[in-house]
Amino acid sequence: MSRWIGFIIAIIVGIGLGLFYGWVIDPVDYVDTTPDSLRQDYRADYVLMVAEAYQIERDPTLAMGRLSFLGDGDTALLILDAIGFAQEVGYSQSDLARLELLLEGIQMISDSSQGEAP
Amino acid sequence: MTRESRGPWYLLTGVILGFMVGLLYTWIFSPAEYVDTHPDAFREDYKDAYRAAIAAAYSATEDMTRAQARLALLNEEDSASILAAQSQRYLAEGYSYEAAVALARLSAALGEVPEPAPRTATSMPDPSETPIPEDTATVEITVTAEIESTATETLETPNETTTPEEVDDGLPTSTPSISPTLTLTRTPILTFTPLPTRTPTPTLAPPFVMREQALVCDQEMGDSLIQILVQNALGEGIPGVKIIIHWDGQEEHFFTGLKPEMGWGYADYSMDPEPRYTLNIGEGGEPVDLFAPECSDDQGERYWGGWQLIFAHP
Repeated sequence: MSRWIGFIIAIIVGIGLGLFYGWVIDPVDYVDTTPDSLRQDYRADYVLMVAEAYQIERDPTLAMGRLSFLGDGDTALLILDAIGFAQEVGYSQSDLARLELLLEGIQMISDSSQGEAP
Repeated sequence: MTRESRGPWYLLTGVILGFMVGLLYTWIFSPAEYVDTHPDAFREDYKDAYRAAIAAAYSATEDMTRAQARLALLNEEDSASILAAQSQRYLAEGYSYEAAVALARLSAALGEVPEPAPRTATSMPDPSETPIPEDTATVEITVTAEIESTATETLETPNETTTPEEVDDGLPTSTPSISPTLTLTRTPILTFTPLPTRTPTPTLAPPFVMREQALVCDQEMGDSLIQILVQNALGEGIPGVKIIIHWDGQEEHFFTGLKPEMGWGYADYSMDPEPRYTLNIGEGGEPVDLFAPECSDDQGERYWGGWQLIFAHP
């Protein structure tokens, strides 16, 4: 009976070592990641980059194409998230204005495309 | 063999079995979290798109500090060369001309300012104005820059810290912290025609004609180079002009402006000594026949030279 107890304890120790090795010493190494897993601050900054370019280019289709980099979700929601984050961490007023301008442009083409839909 | 004489091997077996179960769980069933990734972990094609967005934003704002901070997130050694190479690839692969030019412009502009120290807190423009997180391995990229003629504002690019109170947005408006070199060392490259108004329609322009052909004998050059300079009527280099070179039934295409450090209208091609080459600049340009010329030094030692050709609109 004591051998079984020892065996079970050994397995538990082994599992512990395995978990430590797999999560700490040599965790799964993520390379070649996609942008949809990007951290929120980087996502917000990416949206800001698009907004900076949009401020000059005024091409919402191009901006939407660039924003699709962050995934296939709702583009307007993506910008709203970025605006929320920007307000939270205190982006400058001019950056907030750029983000809002981008949001307006995207919403405009979203509205017009919905209007065209049968 | 009795149970007693088998010794404690069963314990080792248990540990090994447990270890394998643990690895199976951590590597297969519940691997390390795959959220909150950094741009430097992107797949190469996403890094390209990220660089293109940085370049587009830079083209719009000409904010070098911010562009450098963003490029530093990719954790790459020589951003200027990578951007130039990407620009070349974009042109060759038929991507947007504006995107390629934006990349080349940023590459050229990066060559004029010191590269930022990658991913350390010491790379901040002015530590006294930005609280440094306790973890000094993180990046804090809060900078102050004067980006408009009358306003000074706080700019934030991705901030490794997530606590908003660590971001200081109450900076005095009278203390721009951009190094003077950023503004003083700018060259006419930054006064390039704004991208949105540029129309890449080379077919509408008259064909280029060769203005000058000069033999280049320079042993230090190594290769036998055709150095091409394509200029507009004002003598300014024109980027993105397609050059087609033929030899022995083969053909290759390349573009001007892909080595911004040599000038916007510059392109070169390394010749082999044997074949005769025919060069076409842009659409409808007169073909130019070339071959690798022989040069000799003071001791009579012979080596392959090159050509320098200047083309312009008539």
